Amino acid sequence: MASGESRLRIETLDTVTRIEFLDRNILDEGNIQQIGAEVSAVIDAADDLRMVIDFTGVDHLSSAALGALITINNKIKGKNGQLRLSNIGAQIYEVFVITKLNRLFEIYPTSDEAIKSFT
Amino acid sequence: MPQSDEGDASESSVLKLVQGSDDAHRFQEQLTEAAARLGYDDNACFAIRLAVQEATINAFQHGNKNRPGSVVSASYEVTPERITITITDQGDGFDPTGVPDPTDGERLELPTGRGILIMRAFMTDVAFNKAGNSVVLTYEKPKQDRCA
Repeated sequence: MASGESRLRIETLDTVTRIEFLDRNILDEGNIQQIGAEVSAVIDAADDLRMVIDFTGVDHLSSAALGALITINNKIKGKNGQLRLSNIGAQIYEVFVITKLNRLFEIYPTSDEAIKSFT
Repeated sequence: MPQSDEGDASESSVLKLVQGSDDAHRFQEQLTEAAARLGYDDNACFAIRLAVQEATINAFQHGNKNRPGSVVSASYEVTPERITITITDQGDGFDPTGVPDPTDGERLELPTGRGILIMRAFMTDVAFNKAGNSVVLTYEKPKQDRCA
């Protein structure tokens, strides 16, 4: 169930915004909507955004979570920003491969590598 | 309530999942715990949880149109060889062959439409009834120890 508490850990490292999930499972529709709203607020507040979404500690996600990531990616691109994903475990990465979203997103093994990739 | 049969080492359960409740989560937990008890590994439990999540979301959203208080029927049978899950909604059904491939071209950037693709990828078999308001998900345990 969704709650009023943040479901994200957000930090700014130099010019990069790094986001981690506090939930192990990103399945519930209410939680996914809340995550989308929180990330959208970060995007709205920044120009030339460089964002890394890190999946450390995430065990499960649903197609609704993938949809939220696509919406976030489109919104960032719409503001000439850049999005990277990192630390996606093998099982979840397989979901990205099956859905071919590994071609849509830039995915790195670690958030450090993702941060270094920004041009 | 979950049923266990010591004689043939199987477990089964039938639940009514109510829209807006925590029932779907409890069903997933019950199912994956039964699977773990009968020797299914972490990859199997990941696949089962994911497929059941997609099937129940489809049932509530597309089948029952998110009507408050609407119900989805869910059942499972877990044996040492396979897991069979049935999810049935109260809707009019749909034609699963009419669902476009979400990996095609510009569809890749659409935020919805991946549930059935994910179910088919992670399950051994996904079968809809003729009306299209009930789906049977089957997962067969890999036969790693079978003699050549």
